[in-house]
Formats: sequence, C-alpha cells, structure tokens
Amino acid sequence: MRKFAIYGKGGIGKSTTAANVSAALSMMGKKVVQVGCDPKADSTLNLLHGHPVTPVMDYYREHTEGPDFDHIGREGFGGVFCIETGGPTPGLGCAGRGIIATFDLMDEQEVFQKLQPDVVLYDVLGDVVCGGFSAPIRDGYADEIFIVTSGEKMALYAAANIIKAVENFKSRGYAQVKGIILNRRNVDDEYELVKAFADEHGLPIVADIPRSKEIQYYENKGMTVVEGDPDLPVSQIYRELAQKLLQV
Amino acid sequence: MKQAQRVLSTYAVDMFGIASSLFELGGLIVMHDADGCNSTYDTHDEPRWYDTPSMVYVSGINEIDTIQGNDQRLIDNIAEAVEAAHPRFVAIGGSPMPNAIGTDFKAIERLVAARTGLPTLGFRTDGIHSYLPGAGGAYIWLAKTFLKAPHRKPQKPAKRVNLLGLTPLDFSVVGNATTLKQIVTDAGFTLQSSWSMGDTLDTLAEAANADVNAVLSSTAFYLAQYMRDTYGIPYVVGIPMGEKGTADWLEALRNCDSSYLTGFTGQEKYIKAQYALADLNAWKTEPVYADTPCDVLVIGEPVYLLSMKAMLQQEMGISDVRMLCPLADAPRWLLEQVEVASVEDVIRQECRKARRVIADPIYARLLPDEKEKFISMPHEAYSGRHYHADMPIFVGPSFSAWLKNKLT
Repeated sequence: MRKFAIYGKGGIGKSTTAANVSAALSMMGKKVVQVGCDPKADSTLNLLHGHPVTPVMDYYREHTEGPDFDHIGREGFGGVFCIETGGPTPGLGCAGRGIIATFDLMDEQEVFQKLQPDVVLYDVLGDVVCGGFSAPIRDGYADEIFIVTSGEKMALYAAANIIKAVENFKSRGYAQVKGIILNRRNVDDEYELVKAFADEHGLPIVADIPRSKEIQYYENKGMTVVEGDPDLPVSQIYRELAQKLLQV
Repeated sequence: MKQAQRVLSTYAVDMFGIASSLFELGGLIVMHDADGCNSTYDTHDEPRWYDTPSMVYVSGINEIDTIQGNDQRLIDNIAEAVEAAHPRFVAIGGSPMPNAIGTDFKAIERLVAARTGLPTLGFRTDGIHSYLPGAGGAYIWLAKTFLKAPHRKPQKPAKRVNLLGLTPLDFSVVGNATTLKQIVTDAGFTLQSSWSMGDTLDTLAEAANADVNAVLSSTAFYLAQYMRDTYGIPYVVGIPMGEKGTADWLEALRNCDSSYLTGFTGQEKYIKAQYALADLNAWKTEPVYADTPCDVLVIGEPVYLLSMKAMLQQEMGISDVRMLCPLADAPRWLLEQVEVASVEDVIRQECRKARRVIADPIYARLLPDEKEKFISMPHEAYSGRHYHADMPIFVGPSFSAWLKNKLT
C-alpha cells in the first residue's frame, strides 16, 4: 500500500490535484482511498458527482456515536473510497484534533484492512498550523509527501515552510517530502521559479499542470477532468502524474 | 448530566494500568501530565508503592509547553532521569491534556529510544479509558519487546503455566497472588512466570516456554491472544474461586481447555483495544436489560464476573446470577455474556432488580435503603486502598466458606 500526503498553500489546487490523481489511479485499476483533511470538507466533492459524503466530524455532531464502516465514507468515481474529516463549527473547537479523531475511527473501523487499497491519498489543509495537521504524516500514516505550488511568491513561501516543518520532524519518524507538483497560475517565468525552488531543496518536479478551463468546466459538472474527458492533454498530465507517483 | 457519577466512583484509568503492569520490572514509568504529584496515579491504586522500589514519575507539563506542543522538555527530563536511575526500559503515557492536543507518543517513543538507547514504550493513554486497555497495551509491548524464543513447543497436558493479568488492581495485595501461586505449584504445575506480581523482567522474558496461559483478568486477554498467535500457547480464562472452582480451573489448565467458563474455541480473533471517540460513547449508552428480578447481581471486571458466576451456580446452588461490567472498554470477547452499563441510574436499576448484589462497597451507595442486600467485595481498581481491611482472599478453596457465610 502506498500512502501519499498532499500539502500546499490554501487554494493552490491540492484537492483538484488529489481528486484527479485518485481518478487516474482508479482508471489504472488501483483501489484508492482519498481522505480530505480539511474542515471545509471539499476534497472529494468532484469524485462524488456533487453529492458530498458526510464528514466524520459532522456525523459526530448529529449522532451520539461515531459512524460505522458503512457511514464513514462512500465510493465515488472509479470506486475511489472518499472520506472527509470535516471539522468543528467554525470558530469553535479544534480542527486538528478532529483529524486525529477521524484517523482513530478509521483505525478502529479497520478501513484499510477492509478495503485493501493500493493507494491512500491524504489531502491536507494548506498550512501545518498545529499537531493535528501533521497527523497525516505521522508514523503509520502517509509515507511520502508531495507539495503543490505555483510560481507565486506566497505559494512558494508556504511550500518552503512546509518543507522546513517536515525536516524538523525527521527524527520523529514522519514522512518526508518527495516532490513538487507545479500547478500553474500563469506567473511569468513560472517553471524557472519553481524549478529553482525545487533544486534548492533537492526535490524533483513530478508534474507541470497547466492552467486549464477544462478543469473548471468539469468541476462545475461535479467531476474531475480525468473522468470528464480522459483524453484531454490536462487529463493526460494527471494520468502521467499518477503513474509517476507509483514509480517514485 | 446522566453520565455524571453522583455517588459512585470511577475505575482506575489507562495510565494506572500501565503503571501497575510494569511496576516491579525496573522500568522508568512517566505520566505526561500537569500533576506535580504522582500519588494521583500511583499511591491511591497502587498498594505496592509503600514497600516496593519503583520509578514512577509525572512530567509536570505546563501551559506553555502544551500550547507549543513542546515535547523536548519531557524528553530531556527523561534522559536525565535515565542517567541517574539506570532503568531497564522507559514507558511514557499521557493524560487528558496531551490527548487533547494530539501529542504524538509514537514520535516521543522514537526520540526517547534514540536518546537513551533503551527499549521505550510511548503509549497514547488519555486518562479517560479504564486501566484495562492500558495494562493490556503495556503487556503486549512487554511481550513484543522482551519475550525470548521458546526452547520447546507447548505440551498437553500442560505442565508449565503463566499467570497473566495478576496485578493489584484486580487482586490487591491481601494474599490472592501468593495463594494462587501456591495452588498452581501444589497441583504439580511449574510456575513459568507471573505477570505482574513477584517476577522480574528476566523471568517474564522466558514466558514463551509455558504450555498454557491462565488469563486471570481482562488486562491479560490481549497478551494471551498474542502469545497464542506467536507461540501457539493456548489460554484458559478464569480465576480459581471456591473448592469446585479451583478444582475445575486446575483441570482446565491441565487440559488447555479454552472453553472453560467462556465457551471459547481458543481461536478467537485478536481484537485490539479501542481508542476512538466512538468507543468512549459506549460509556454513555443507557441499555435496558430484562426487568425480571434475579437472585444475585455481580458487578466488576469480566474474568472475575465469569468466575464468580460459576461459583455461585455450581457451588452455592444459585442459578439466577447476572453479571454487570461497568468497564465498557474491556476486551469485546469477554463481554459476550456480560451486561455492560456505566451510567449510574442504569446500574442502580440493575441493583434494584437483584436480591443480593456482590460488588465493591461503593456500589451500596446506590440504594441507601437496601444496604443489607450488598455483599462487599472491594476492588482495588475501583475503591483503591479504602476498603483493604474488608478485602477477602477470593482465590482458592477457602473462599467457599467466606461467601457461604455472606450469603446466609
């Protein structure tokens, strides 16, 4: 089982990337679990044709007990099993602890033992703001981290912070950063900027995803572009990224 | 507020279970908690504290360390204590505060092990679960870390016995452990090891040479399952209580009869201790049990319940016996025949239905007008040292006379 965590600045396209990679992996015949680790709970929306799964934290709010296996997540496109941690009511509670509680529940419900996935993708909130948001890279969860960034200054700044945080965690046995996913925002010299950043940190750029209207087009239809039109050039890039992740 | 305990107490928590199961083994045991005094964990429920050397410490976590998730002070302090005390291992567990901020005890385990070079257990206790999963997890870690490969395979009829789950939390220090060991050796068995009273880490390391494991409390069921899966050692669940109970238990041990008291096949699937919020909610459920009265209700830990029920039925001639376990996080297999209730009102209702109640004396507070129906069986994990003077030796043939006297 390969377990990846996708990090990056808020709004940079982590969920879009994760969902398209999941869709592409499923088209390769892989069993995939995607876990959205963000209170917004929108990671898997485009794998579910706009019918969102109930986030685990929402379930806890509405019921006295936690969800059982049949209610912890739902299969979406290509059989991708979608789970959303969700979070507390905005302004209250502790979202990071919600991620840990969801992982505990997944462990107890033996989600991975039951599904036997080939790949698990953790799609994590932009910034590692507290212990809970590092939970996906703790020992036993993701083994490899990929950071999504554009050439924008703040996106690269966030990526640098994530790399620094992860390096600090090395002695704790946490996952390490294995590559950069360039999600273009059409900044001048974007590839060169990101390449210089990647080289500085000794990381490869594993994908160069162009800004594409087709992504938005299919997202408006509640699906990934990979599902909507797998032959489009941008879909092909996601499919190549999926293959590359398995090879890294 | 239904979960509030108005007159009842609470059971020893998970960290107490770790401290109790590891107490005599020469390890440094650290509670990661704000408490400046370890008596909260280790004197109220640990009778060995007064006369047995041990190394149990509290980290004294403070507000700023908590906010900043600063584990470094804990690691530095542990390293300093290790240098001074030379323990055989280090065990670290948490309290509610580290649990609330999601402290990564596996990472702390790794860092402490690297720093000290000692076998280290980082256990994610939360001070909310009971001593059962705490001790259960510590036993599993001990087995995985220290058990040596056996010299020979388990034999049947069994000759060499491990006594598992023998902590003061369930057996106190009033003579149960000594009696139990005497019963085993008098019956011609060889006592391979005793977890956890009276043996050293080196003795426990040889436990895989046993022919059979006697599971004396729920704390040891996970360990017994691990040793079955790893070394093929069968388990027998039960405590030898009373004349017939003792004879039957010895016979079950000799024959490696896993079905004794439980009906088990001996192949029960390993179900690990539960730690999620969902499980905690099990403490809050209000089950409704049969409204019919019963002759005797027994309250306590599941292995004790099964053993007491057998004794009441087979030796005391009382057929209508019900068992109630307030510990919702006991191993699931052991709860199959047992009612589970933690909410005070539910337990009160169950006590009301019974003609006699055998339980820790604190439960008598539930029905102040019916105190005479309660038979006091103090449970260290529940009332601590408070009722030591009333605690009988409930292991062995002599318990028959004691119980007969109480029931008349």
